[in-house]
Amino acid sequence: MLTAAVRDLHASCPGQFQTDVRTRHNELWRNNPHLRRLDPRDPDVEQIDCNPPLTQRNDDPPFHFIHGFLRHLGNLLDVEIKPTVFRGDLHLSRREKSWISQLQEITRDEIPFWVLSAGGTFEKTIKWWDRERFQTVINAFRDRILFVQVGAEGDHHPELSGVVDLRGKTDLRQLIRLIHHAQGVLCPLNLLMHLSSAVDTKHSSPNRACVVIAGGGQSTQWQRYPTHQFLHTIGALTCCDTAGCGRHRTHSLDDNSPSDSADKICVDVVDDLPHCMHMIGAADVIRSIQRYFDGGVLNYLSADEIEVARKTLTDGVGLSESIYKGERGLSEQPGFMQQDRL
Amino acid sequence: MRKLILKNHQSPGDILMLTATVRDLHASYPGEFLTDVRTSVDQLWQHNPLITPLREDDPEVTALRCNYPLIHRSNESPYHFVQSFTEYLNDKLSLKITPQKYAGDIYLHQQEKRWISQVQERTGKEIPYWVIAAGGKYDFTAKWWASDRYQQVVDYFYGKIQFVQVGELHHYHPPLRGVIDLRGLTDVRQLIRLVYHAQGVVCGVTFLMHLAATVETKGSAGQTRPCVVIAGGREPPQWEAYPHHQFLHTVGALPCCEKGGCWKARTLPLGDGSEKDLPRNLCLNVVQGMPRCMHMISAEDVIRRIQMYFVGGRRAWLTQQEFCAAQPTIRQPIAHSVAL
Repeated sequence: MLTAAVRDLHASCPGQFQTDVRTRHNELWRNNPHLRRLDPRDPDVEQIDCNPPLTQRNDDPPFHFIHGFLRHLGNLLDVEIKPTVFRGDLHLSRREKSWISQLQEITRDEIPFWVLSAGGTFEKTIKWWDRERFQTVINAFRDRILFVQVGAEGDHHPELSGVVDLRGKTDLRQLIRLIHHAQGVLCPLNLLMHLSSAVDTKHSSPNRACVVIAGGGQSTQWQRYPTHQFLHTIGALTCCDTAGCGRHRTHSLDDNSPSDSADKICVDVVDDLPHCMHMIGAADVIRSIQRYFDGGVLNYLSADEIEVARKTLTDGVGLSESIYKGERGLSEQPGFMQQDRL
Repeated sequence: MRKLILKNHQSPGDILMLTATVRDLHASYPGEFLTDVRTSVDQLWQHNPLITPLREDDPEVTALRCNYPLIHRSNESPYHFVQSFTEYLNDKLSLKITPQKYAGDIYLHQQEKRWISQVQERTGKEIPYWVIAAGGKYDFTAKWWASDRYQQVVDYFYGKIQFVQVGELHHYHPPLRGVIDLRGLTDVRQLIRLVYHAQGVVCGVTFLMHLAATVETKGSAGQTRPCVVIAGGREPPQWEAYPHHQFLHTVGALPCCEKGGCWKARTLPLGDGSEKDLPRNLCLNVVQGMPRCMHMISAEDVIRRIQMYFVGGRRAWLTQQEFCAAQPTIRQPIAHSVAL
């Protein structure tokens, strides 16, 4: 989100500022034309601690996360920064774009794929959805969508079958490039969702499909991107009636983390999931993904691509053999749409 | 003290957004402005404490015709409609009004709150109900969803939710079976009060959607009201959607709304000489008389989103007694539902 603020600062005040950053994730700034190396000891250099106050009141005002840094910077610099586009600002070099995807390194052939994040950090377990439901989604799109599972090592990303498994195999820049090649993204509220919007699509389509399993943890206006299918429950539960609950964990992990304090623990747990996440069924996610295909902006795998996908999976990249050894996908099960869509 | 008269004569939804701007102006500049309005919907301003009668011939008064050019950036920019007039005022008057709330600003008098609802007038008993608008204006037929799908939704919740159908008589609002029919029976103020009593709302992108978010909920101020919006791909979600609504959209899923809302006016030409009939204002992708983006939203989708509000446990289905109380007042089943 800070990349967006820097972009919009320069767009709103052309030629007035030189900018540099000190952040934890330098890979997000690579090839960024708005950055210039600045020496913090230079008396002309002003250092700003960017900790936008808007994050503390994201419940009611009509602001997106993207406004957070933007308004904060604008106030500090006494300039009006208008948001230009609804996304972060990532820059892939021509060379990076010319590289084949990590998936193609495996498949050899270029085929469309969706990036999937089926977990998250232990600090925010409240964002996790049910592994079995992710699996149901994957099974439902067997032979139609190839999913590539990602996730940082050390975080919770349960193994799924019928996916290409790149968990722990992407640094941030590799993840950005993977998303550049991706047709779509399926994830909870996390970096992947923001990357899905911010990273250019490979074939210059204006947007990338993205289905977000959001629940009621955070306010929709603060997180939702326009072209995403954002599955939320704000307004449906007492604990997130007007805004996201802002809690961190489903259960205590007894690790002395600030996320383990009582006020950060979910108050409504059903079957080990926050009720808000439990309310989102696999069928809801399937339906949301289908929408992009029904609408015609995306095509399911072609016959040739299915062969490539099958071969890739059966060659052992994260495949649970069951998928291609007789276990039927959900969509083939009698009564699926009737039972599960409602 | 600066004196402002704000003018706008657009549709009720637009005027409702202007109420938000007046609220936010006073919140951002307390005691610095006196405000009055000249708009097409006076009933939206009733009991508004931020309105002071001002005369246009008062030399201290600035009269401002309010527009919202922000709409031209609505597809790309992270703004909601509720900020539209605020941005305009900020630009015109060099202000820094900060939006306060995701809602318009409607005031119900204590006496109005005490009145029973139009529904209770008919049923004789207070029952929970949802307001449904199953049509709209002829100048924006691209917002319409199929009447038979609305009927499926109503039928599905038979005995669980009592729907109350509203809509202006001179607009397109085909009759639904099994509803309490208040079409043509509510002026703006009555509609506001009806929404005040309502448990939930089902509608397209209309004035009713904005009211659902704005009008306080009876007996529980601060609590939100469920609302399921059948939006399709005409408007960008960030511009129209309220945080606690279930906003069913297809933006990003069709080539014609891949970059944002298409903002087309009509599904098919009506031959009425309106500029809305011009090719540039017509839907590019029509399926069975509906914009494809609306066609892609099924009755099951809407049912599922309505259910969410009940599954969450915050609302209860009709009791047997409530259901029975409604029966004498509902529109009896008719032979055929009206399809588009």
